[in-house]
Amino acid sequence: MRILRRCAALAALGAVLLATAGCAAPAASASVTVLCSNDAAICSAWAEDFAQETGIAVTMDRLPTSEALERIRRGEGLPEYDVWHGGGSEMYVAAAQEGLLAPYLPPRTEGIPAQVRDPRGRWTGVYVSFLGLCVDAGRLDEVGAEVPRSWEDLLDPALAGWVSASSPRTSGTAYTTMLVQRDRLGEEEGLGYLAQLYPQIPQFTRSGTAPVQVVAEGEAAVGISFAPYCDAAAAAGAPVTTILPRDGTGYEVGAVAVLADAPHPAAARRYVDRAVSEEGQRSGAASGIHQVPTQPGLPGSFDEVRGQLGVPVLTSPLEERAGRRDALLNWFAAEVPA
Amino acid sequence: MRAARGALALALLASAVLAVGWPLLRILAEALVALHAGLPPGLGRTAAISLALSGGATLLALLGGLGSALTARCLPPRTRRLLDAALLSLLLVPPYTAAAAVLAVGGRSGLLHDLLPPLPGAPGMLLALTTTLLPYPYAAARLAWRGVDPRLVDAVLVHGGGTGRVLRLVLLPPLLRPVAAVAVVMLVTALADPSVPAVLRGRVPTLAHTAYLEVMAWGDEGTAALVAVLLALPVLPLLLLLARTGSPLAEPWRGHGAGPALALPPSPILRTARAVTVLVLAVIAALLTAAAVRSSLAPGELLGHGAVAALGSTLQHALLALLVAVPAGLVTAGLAARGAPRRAALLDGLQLMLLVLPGTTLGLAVSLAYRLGTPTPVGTLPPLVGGASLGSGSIAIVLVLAASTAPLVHVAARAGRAQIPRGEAETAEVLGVGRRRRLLRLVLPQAAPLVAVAGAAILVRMMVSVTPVALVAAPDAPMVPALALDLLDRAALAPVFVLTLLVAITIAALAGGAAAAGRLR
Repeated sequence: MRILRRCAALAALGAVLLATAGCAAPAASASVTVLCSNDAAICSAWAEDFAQETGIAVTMDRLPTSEALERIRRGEGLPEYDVWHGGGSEMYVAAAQEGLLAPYLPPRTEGIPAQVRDPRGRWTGVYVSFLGLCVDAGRLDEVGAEVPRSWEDLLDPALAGWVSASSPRTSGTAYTTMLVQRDRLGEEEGLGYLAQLYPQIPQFTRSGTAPVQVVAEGEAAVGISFAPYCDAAAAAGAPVTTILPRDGTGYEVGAVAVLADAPHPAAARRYVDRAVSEEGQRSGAASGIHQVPTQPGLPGSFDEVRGQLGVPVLTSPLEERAGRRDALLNWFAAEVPA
Repeated sequence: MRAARGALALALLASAVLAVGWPLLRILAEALVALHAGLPPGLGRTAAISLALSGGATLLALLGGLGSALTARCLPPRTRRLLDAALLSLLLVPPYTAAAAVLAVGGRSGLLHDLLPPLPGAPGMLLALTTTLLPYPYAAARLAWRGVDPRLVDAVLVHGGGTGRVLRLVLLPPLLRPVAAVAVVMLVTALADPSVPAVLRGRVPTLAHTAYLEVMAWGDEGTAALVAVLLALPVLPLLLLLARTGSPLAEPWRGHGAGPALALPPSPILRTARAVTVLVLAVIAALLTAAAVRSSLAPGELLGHGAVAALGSTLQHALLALLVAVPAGLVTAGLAARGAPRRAALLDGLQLMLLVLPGTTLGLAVSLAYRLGTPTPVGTLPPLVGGASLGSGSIAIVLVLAASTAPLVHVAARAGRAQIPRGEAETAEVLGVGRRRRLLRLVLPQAAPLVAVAGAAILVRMMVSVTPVALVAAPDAPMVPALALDLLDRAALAPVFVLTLLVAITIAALAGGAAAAGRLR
């Protein structure tokens, strides 16, 4: 029985240590918990910038956009997060419609173009990324395929098995890709195009930025992802180039929002203030990934860049894009294996 | 006072059973509801594919492992140890690393891409799973054959028997039971592993990866629960087999000295076994070479990606889990040893069930049960799964690590007690030797090697296992499997090889330290 008692004491010690580990989270009074739907390096850069500026500790939990929306939905009534930062605004529209976001108009919002923010202040666009093709020309040469310049070029039989893309189940990037085809070709023909494109992809990635690295590692020749990630990989020395499809591209408006029932609403609003500001929008560039800022005063802002792309920029009303999500994902689940 | 201590131990035990048992019961209920609503489309096909893949990998690994074990048994001890090292070191290789190595050999930019058919998809998964499973039958056969007396072999040969008869009369009888049990474990392990398909699935769906995606994407809980229960079904015959064979888990732990080489006459069976061994070693060499070549391409980038932080965090969680699992396992073993046979059977049964339960089932159960607030009689428990939950997700991680390793402590403690000669134990009791003295003089000397092996096994299991940890950790959690799966989603193979090497070095250092401490005692 003495041994049992010692064992019980050891178990109690374990429980205490566990509880101590649990208490390692930042103190409630000076912290903000952010659900980040962007590249890990950008999320860290945002968190560092805010913590340095305000002294408020940031707990960052990174999830792809679709997963993040589900987590917020299922956590309603028992909030875990204060702020949602990054990821396509279609998901924010859906969250706003379901009452999951708190209205808040941060200072310096008025200059941001109206189409990239919610008029009721439930979310604000803080960056824009254009969808592109990340290509490895050397690999394409080996495969015997031309460098794809359009979405239609991706259907080249020589590219079968050489295209990398993420799964719409887990990635907002993949959902934007689906919407671009719908905007480009219409409902039926868009789905028809996707039904031809998906067999070209040997394996879907979980993350929307992963296809860039898959191409950089030589496992694919073309990746479908947002342009800044491909540009960053090229700048880091990977043999990749960004191509914006000449038959039209779409864009993701990355947003930020205070969550309804945020446990730390004051800190959450300060976080959003910083994220929306010019300094905050510049801070992500510290990661080496240069997204297009929405503040018109910044060089290379959305207003400035949009007209200079040289390819059609396709879009449709955000509410409509958000409303199509379930139908498109159901189509994907039913029609596309694995 | 004694009653109070007993009550405390039972209360702790009841809490542990509740913390792990409730998620398992919940997932069973959800699976039944999902089944009642009808099978999700495609799940039947996915199950058939998974079963075929896992069955194929199990068969191939049995062939490779048993063939190599036969070759090893016929080698002199020194050469045999080399073969042991080559095959048993695969136990330190997580399945995702084996999958990454397969990609490094036969992927688009693989070392032998031009010579091999495309490996991603079913062939690659089969190869990776087989490589991961190889040490299981090898170890089982090596343990079973350690006690084989070479004189029996000589007797069969003297009486005109050949290698076939030696196999049938001498080598197969001690092998059947352990290999049957190990085959089920292999099948379950292959079925329940989501990490090989995460790297190599191509467009081939598998059960475990489907469930992994459902959990990661916060998709259909019913499908995830159904898959979790399906994955646990093959465990039932194993449980029955183990329950019917007395204390079967204690037997393989008992050591025997290294026996002399068996001298078998040349025969097709032996030649086949040698050919299989050479093939196995060639595959291992090819995978190792490809991994080394891929890692050497960008040496400057290898230690980035948070590898050291992930390793440190995993080790920290593993040690915390040990602090929970060791006392829990010792308490149940102690209660079982001193209790009535029915209580002992109940405790052994519970631990046995937990021991053979697939990590995927446990991880899915805990993830689904604790990722949102959990209602309790005294209020709602905050979420325990995910980076922003209570303790940054540490509580769920430690819980699943402890739950999956406490049974090993229990089994080791029970086996240690069983090793003590009954005569010595009874004599000590009759002579009135105190409990402390008996523990120090009788139990510890007998159980020390066992405890060391159990400790090493637990540590390896915690550091190398993908599940259940990957299913309760946030994708960005600084845990080795979560980091590896994130890197492999991006086809970043080299950092994963380095991470695996770091894990292996850490385990070796810890095991070496423990052995040195044991010698000092």
